[in-house]
Amino acid sequence: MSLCYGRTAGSLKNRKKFLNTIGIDYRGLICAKQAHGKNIEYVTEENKGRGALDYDSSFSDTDGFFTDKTGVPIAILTADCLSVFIYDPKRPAIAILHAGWRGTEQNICAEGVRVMREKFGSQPRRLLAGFGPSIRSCCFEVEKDFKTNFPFGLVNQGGRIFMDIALVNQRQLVNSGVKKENIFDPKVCTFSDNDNYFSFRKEAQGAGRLISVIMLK
Amino acid sequence: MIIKYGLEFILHAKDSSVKIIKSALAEFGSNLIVSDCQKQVESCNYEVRMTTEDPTLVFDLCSQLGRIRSVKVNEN
Repeated sequence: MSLCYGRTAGSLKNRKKFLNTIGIDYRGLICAKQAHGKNIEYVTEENKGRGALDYDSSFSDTDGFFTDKTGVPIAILTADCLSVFIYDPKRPAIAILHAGWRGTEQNICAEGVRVMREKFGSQPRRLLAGFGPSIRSCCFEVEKDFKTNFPFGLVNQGGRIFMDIALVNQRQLVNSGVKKENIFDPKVCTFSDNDNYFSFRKEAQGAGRLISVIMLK
Repeated sequence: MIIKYGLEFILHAKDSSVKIIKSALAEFGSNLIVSDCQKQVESCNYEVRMTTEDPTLVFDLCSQLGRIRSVKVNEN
């Protein structure tokens, strides 16, 4: 689904096919040049189509979007990283975040909740959150020095350290005021279920990208 | 069965070139021909011919580059 890896024609065909099934015009999609940071952009109707048909027009140095406008589809591309969906049913408003380990280290989930609170007056306890497929603690081995940056969410298995990136983001959301019972985790591992999902760790540079998209109707 | 379409159209575009248009469309089909710029006031008319399986993708892409006119689509 990415326009910066592989064949553009194939990616556009896939986007069109997938997004048509959920009632989204692929020409209006808003995408980012993701940078493993925590910059989250507010987008509106005016931004529709940035990154939809070419990579160059995507938002630079951006790892999340949020909007309270209907008909504005916002997307994140991943292959092992976690995508985080946030929905405020009261306003209503939405956000989508790209949480790799670097974004997670920078607490992008807390940033997502913060911008929704500040811009829309969203109350964290009323927010609903969901995760996309990502690499899980069964397969995400990390360096031992991760312990200094991640006080929780690491699993020691016979001296090898594995990271539970979804658990860390869940904790960060809870620490930001989101109720644990309002966080949906599909518990799908991209690495171990590589027949159905792309995994950068497994496929390296040849890995495709999954798209996570959300839009207010 | 894969259906292929022969497309012919005029792309009225500013700040573009034969090279840019060819580069944007090359992946989307075969037999691609983009004529040299026919200069208008501040823009150019490029005549585009190609064979593709997905005309809508081609038109969506070209609509980013400029205005599409005089479209002919033939089912090959």
